[in-house]
Amino acid sequence: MNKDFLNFRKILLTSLLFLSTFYSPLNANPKVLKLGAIPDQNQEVLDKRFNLFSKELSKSLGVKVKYIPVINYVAAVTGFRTNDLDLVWFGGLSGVQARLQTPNAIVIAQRDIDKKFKSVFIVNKKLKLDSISNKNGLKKLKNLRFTFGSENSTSGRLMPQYFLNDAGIKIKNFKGKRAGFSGSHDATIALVNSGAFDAGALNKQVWENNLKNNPKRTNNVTLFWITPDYVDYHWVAQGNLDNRFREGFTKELKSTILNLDIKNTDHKKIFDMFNAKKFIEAKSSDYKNIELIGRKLKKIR
Amino acid sequence: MNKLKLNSSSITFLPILVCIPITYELFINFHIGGIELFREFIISALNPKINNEIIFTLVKRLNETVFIAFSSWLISMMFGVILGILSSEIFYKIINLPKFLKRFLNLFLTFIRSIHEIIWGLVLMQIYGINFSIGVIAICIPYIAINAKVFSEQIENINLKTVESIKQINGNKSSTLISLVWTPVIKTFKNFGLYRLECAIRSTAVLGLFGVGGIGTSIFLSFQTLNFRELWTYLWGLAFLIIISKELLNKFNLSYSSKKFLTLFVIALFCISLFSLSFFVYFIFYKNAIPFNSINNLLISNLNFISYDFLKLLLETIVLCLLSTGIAISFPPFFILFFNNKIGITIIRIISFLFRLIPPPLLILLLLMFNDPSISLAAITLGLHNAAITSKLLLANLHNQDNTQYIAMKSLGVSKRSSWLFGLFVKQANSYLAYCAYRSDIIIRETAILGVIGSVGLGWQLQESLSSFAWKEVLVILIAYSSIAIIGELINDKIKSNLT
Repeated sequence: MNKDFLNFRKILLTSLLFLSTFYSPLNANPKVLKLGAIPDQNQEVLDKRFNLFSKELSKSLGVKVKYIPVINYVAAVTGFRTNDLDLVWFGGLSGVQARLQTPNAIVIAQRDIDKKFKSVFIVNKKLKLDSISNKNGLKKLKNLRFTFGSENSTSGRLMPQYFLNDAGIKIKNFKGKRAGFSGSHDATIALVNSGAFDAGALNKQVWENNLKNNPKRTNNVTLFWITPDYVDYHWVAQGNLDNRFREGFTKELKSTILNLDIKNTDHKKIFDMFNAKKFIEAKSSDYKNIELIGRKLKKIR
Repeated sequence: MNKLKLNSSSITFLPILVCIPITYELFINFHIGGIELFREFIISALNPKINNEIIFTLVKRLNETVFIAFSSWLISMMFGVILGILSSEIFYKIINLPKFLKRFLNLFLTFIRSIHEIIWGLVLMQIYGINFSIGVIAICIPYIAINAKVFSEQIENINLKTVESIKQINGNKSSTLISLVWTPVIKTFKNFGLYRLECAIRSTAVLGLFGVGGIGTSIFLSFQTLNFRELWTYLWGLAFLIIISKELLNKFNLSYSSKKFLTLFVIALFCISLFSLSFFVYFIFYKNAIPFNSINNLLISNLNFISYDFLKLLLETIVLCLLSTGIAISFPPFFILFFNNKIGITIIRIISFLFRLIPPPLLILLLLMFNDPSISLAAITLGLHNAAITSKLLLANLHNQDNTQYIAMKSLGVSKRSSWLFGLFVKQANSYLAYCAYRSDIIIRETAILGVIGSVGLGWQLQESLSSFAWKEVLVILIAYSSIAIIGELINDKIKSNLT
């Protein structure tokens, strides 16, 4: 009996010790630039892309940069609001949401392609639907099983829903009177490809990448419509970085990102991961239209 | 002819009727679109991805899970015991304190119990950001209250006459209390406490699905990208963890009345209180006041409900509860009755283990490959998951029960099924139903998580409101949830007191 008892005590004591050291507030280090991103694609892709990017930032800014993966769009917005993330790669909608909730946030940059971003509608080949030339053709999607990407995705939900509404289709016109939310652009392709959903909408960039690199996953899917363009992704930073790191830090950060050059082999790897040729200036006023649509569809209250 | 009488064993079978509407709705919504993906999912179960990288992540994630689950289990057990004692009748019999304190405490516990840990997690995450200590706090809040309830119920069983007689010989109050309460507390800890650890691990996994960290996060990420082989590596990892932790804890042989154990309890309690306090201070002061201010700003968001829609969601949630409780009550005895032989029971055990292992949100995602989202789909998911839990308990109780009557009936030539029903099950029916009543409390809370993914009921609205950062709506939904859960608990208490 005594032996068992000792055992229990040992385990209890170790676990207590473990508990008290593991989560000491002292572990937090204010000198690390915490990088985040909305999880719009496969985690592997994101890990590679943002670890490369962090390394480059760390090299030129001389501070430690850590990429912190988050599980969904809401978590990215919340993490930014609660100061758990300093610099975040947001989509159009999530960026606006984050900036509305974090008063001093600063728009840093966007990619060249984000000025004219597009979404695609895809359908399963079994339906034998021909592609359409203008938005009125979207009516053909009535009574099908339809999936968006993530709830707060600009290219996977907000803009597609906006164009659908424009064509006179409401969510309740889909089968089951609801649309699905696959969670990410890759998942939308996989779900439509397998036939679990008849149709879906996603980021054009991800669609083209999959066509090129993953033809097996797109075997049973065909392109239905490409939307008109709108602004999307952007880098957003906290407003207090100068205080936390050094005078002029935000400016340095901005110029580092804008000066990444595709001719440099290291930088080219980054741009390949981002599917872009360069980062360009962006202003918060560029996203006014996204905010309006967001409010209209009640994603911004 | 005999009329069908409503006794407890027929009540356990009656809810099987919910299958009629569920099967109907599932049938009309059925499609085979996801068959390819499902086949891939099943094949991957036997062929999980194994390489250095993934094993490394698996171990890391399991560590996080153990940390969250074990610390929240420990904290919630300790405080559960204390609050359980404080909210029991005996305490106020021995120590003269005004009775309203007890009522107040009970009310408070009922309230925090009525909201599922996932919702606590989601809300706390909104305030404090992504930090996996959120997981510990989110699990602790409802667990403390649930544990307190169970402990106080067990303590309530102490014969009040003993209290009176000890009072008459003027014993020391605190030692009277401890000596009286000790045996039921240890006994409950042995019967119930170890089971709660398994619950804590499962809760941690589900919380992970919503981004708190631990194995659930990996499970969700790999599922979202439909990487089934990776998914199964994590799922088997979780299974391994649940089995190992149970085996380890079964090894502990707690002595019933050891003085040393009591001192140990006090020391541990002290450390844990200190630890929890430091947590609290850390959150209030270190995390600075920004989150609180911004919450104030956020509350200005406007309410966008139309009351008709809200009522509809409320109704959906209640229907979902009833349907899934029906499945959870009736399936285990029904299937055990039908497959009442060694192979059948083994298969039931394996299947129910799988249904316990796969977190309900994942299960509904899988079922969504074949069916359009509907209440029935959510109900069958939640029902199967909970039936897996009730069946485990039922099988264990049946196993431990004296089976002479069963053998006697069988040797008299009564058919195997009838003798199982009248010789074995009848004796268990009452306690099984009482347990199911308790389980239905949990089902009510769990409807929240399923709604989030299965797009039904209040849970769906909660997700929509959370992702639009509409705090007033979130508040209204939480109140609605809480009231459903509280009403459910009151009804269940009535049922339980009728059963015993």
